[in-house]
Formats: sequence, C-alpha cells, structure tokens
Amino acid sequence: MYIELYYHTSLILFISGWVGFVIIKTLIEIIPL
Amino acid sequence: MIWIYISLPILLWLCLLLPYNLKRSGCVSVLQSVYYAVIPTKKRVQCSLFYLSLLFCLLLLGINQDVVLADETPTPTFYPLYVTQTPSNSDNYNCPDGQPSGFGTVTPNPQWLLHCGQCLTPEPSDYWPTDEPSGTVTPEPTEVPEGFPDDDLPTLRSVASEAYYKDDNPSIIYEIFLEDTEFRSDHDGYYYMQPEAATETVQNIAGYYYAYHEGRGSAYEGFVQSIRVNLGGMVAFGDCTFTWSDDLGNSWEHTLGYGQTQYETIMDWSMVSTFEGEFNYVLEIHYEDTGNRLFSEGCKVDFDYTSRATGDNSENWNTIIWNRGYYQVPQDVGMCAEINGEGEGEELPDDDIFSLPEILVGNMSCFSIGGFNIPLGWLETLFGVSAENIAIPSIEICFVPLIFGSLNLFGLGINMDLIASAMAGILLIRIITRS
Repeated sequence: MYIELYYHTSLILFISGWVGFVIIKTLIEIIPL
Repeated sequence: MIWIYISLPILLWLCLLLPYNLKRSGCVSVLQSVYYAVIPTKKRVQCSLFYLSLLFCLLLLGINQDVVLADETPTPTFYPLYVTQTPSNSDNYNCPDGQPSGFGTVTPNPQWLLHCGQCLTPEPSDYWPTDEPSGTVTPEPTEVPEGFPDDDLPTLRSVASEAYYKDDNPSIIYEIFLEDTEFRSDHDGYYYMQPEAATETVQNIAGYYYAYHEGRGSAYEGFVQSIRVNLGGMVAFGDCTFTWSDDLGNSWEHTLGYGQTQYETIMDWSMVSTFEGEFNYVLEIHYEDTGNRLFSEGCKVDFDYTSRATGDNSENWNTIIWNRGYYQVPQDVGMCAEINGEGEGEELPDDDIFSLPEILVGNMSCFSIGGFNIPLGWLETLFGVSAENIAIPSIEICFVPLIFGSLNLFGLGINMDLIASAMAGILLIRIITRS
C-alpha cells in the first residue's frame, strides 16, 4: 500500500507548536513549582 | 527511520485518544465542534480544536491509497501539482522605431498604456509644446559595429549545447558562438534563436566576412576559387524560416516546421582569385510559435564557413576573415508597435493582471513500514487444519511538501504561503492564550 501525505509548512508549524505547548503545559502541571 | 516510530504513536494519540477523551467531557459531535470553531467561546474552543484535529488526521490519512509507487528519481525542485495550460508571456514590449502605428488616431486603452506608454513620444506642435528642455543634447544613436574585428566589438558569449533547451537560462535570447576569433581557413559558428515574441524576425545576426589572397604571382591569378557556407544543422521548434542573402546576389530560403531538421545545406559559390574585398550577408530567421512546448522553442542553425580553392589547394588563398561583430535589428512585432484603443485588446496575450495561485509539490520523502508474515503452519501440526500464512503487506508512506504560490490581483501579488503560516501562528497563539 502506498500513501502520499501532502503537507504545508504552516501545518508543520501549527502541529509542532501545538504539541510543544501541550507538552510544556503538562510538564508545568506535573512539576510543582 | 527512528523518528517515524516516535511520531506514529503521537499521531495516533492525536487522532484517536484525544477526541475520545473530549467526547467524555462534553464534545458530542463533529458538527458541533465545527460550530464551536465558527462561533467560539472560551470553554468550547478546546473542544472544537480537538475535533478539527480529528478531521485533519482523517483527511491526512485518506489520500491516494493503493497507488503504485513510481520508480523515479524525485525532481530537485517543486513542480506543478496539476499541469495546466497557462498562458505564456509571449509578447514583447519593444518600442517601435518612431511612434506606434495609430498614434494620433486611436486613444490607447489602459492596458496598452501600462505596457507601452513609454513608447509614446510627444511631438511638438502648436498646442502641445515639446517636453525636451531647451539646450538638451540628444545623444547620437549607437552605431552598428562594422569593419574588421577590434576590441570595441561586443564580447561574444559562448553558448554551450545545453543552451539549446529553454529552461537553462530564459534570459538567453540571441547569442552567437564562435570557436575562434583568429583568422583561419574555416570557421564554425553556432546560433540559436530563442525569441520572446510569438513571431519574431532577426536579421543581420552576423557581420560580414572577407576574402582575400596573397597571390604568388600571375600564375595563380585566374583560378576559380570558391567559398562554401554550410548552414548545417537547422532545427526548428516552431515554424522557422531561414533566409540567406548576400551582396553577391546569392539568396536562399528554407522553411522548417516544428521538430524538423535539415543538415548540410551548402551554399557554394565561386569567384575569381582576383576578387579582393568584402561583402555583406544577411541571415534572417523568422520564427512563428506553434504552441508546442514539448521540448523547446525557437530556431537553431549551425554555421560552418569554409573557403575552398577549386583546382588548386593553394595555401595562400585560404583565408576567410570572420568578423566578430554582430548586430541585431529587432523587429517591431510586439504589442507596442500598434496602439490598442479603447474597446480593443481585451484578449491580451500577457495576462499578468490576475493569476490564480499555482500549487506546487516538492520532493517526497518516503519511508516504509515493513510487511511481515504470520506463519500458520502450526495449525496443521497441532490440529490438522491447513491454513495459508497471513501476509501483511508493507506500507509505503511518502510526505510531499506543498507550496500554495501567490495570488495575483491587478498586479499585486498575495503570497498564500505567508498567509497560511500567519494563520497557523495566530491559531496557535489563540490556543495558548485561551487554554
């Protein structure tokens, strides 16, 4: 099976920023400051 | 490869687990999430975004399944996603020698003025004074180089055979390649015409040559000598008409259609050895676009000049002096040669006023998740039931970058890539600030 995934740079920007934000937010909630 | 195994669970998590958790927390339907995205509230934004991510993932995973993997080397640049017949900028905006035809009788339309307004020169009259301030010295027009080679002649640029194709350097329009600038008995030239206009004629692309001899005496006078001009290797990408004429009364014309070639077209004429002097020749190439863009466009002709001494191989009668100077007389066949008046020229060949963005796709980067077999031979061994092995085929996944291009509105280019990136950034900031 062959799958082509078309993407745009803005999509990478959005997803990476979103995932990064979720990770950072999770870390902030987990680690008590 | 390792990043694939890291990112795949994240992708699954985004596409499946998060919407599931959100459904538990109140996000019920996809339509509801779309509605929330259109009219967001502080509490609903997170719900809608997660559902939109689900839609996005489904869209991402559902493209082009079961397509045979092309065994091709990826092209190094972006290429159009959908090949369409786009109008080419095939007109030239050269100003004619003098006023464009129709001057004074036709009111130019705005589009013609946009391209060719500089070609209109005011004429002094009783009503409209000339724009030239008094005392202005009009520069003399540049003279066409004549005579024998000297250092003031324009430098010729070499044209490699790659210039034969259009995409190498679109700026190459007229060039001539000469192997040698020294005096020699024969000379090879290469000329390739790549016109900008759909119809264009170039003449006088080379200067003239000169034949002489340093006779050894009267014994050699009277021999019939000859000069051979071999216009070999004519190739036409379009309708090309090659016309040759010179001062000695020789003329020749040949027309080739698209893709046709002709070799060894020899012009051979004789002269007596007492001839000493020079004569001019004109080679005209008339090109007409046939709209075929399969390979290239334009006309190409190879030169091969050779002097011959018939009946005698006298080494002292063998020199043709090739003039390095060349000049071109552009023909006023562009749209500026004639004024397009009001109500005319709606179908301009150059449509740079409005153009839709052209989506380009780049090199794909692929990875494969290897297939594997589930052996079932043990079923027969244990239970006596024969079953074929289960083969899980491998999955080839290719990521293909996209470029949206720019939208051209009335000459104003709007970069769609920049807008998409800005919207992504704004949406990201909105998520961060509202959560």
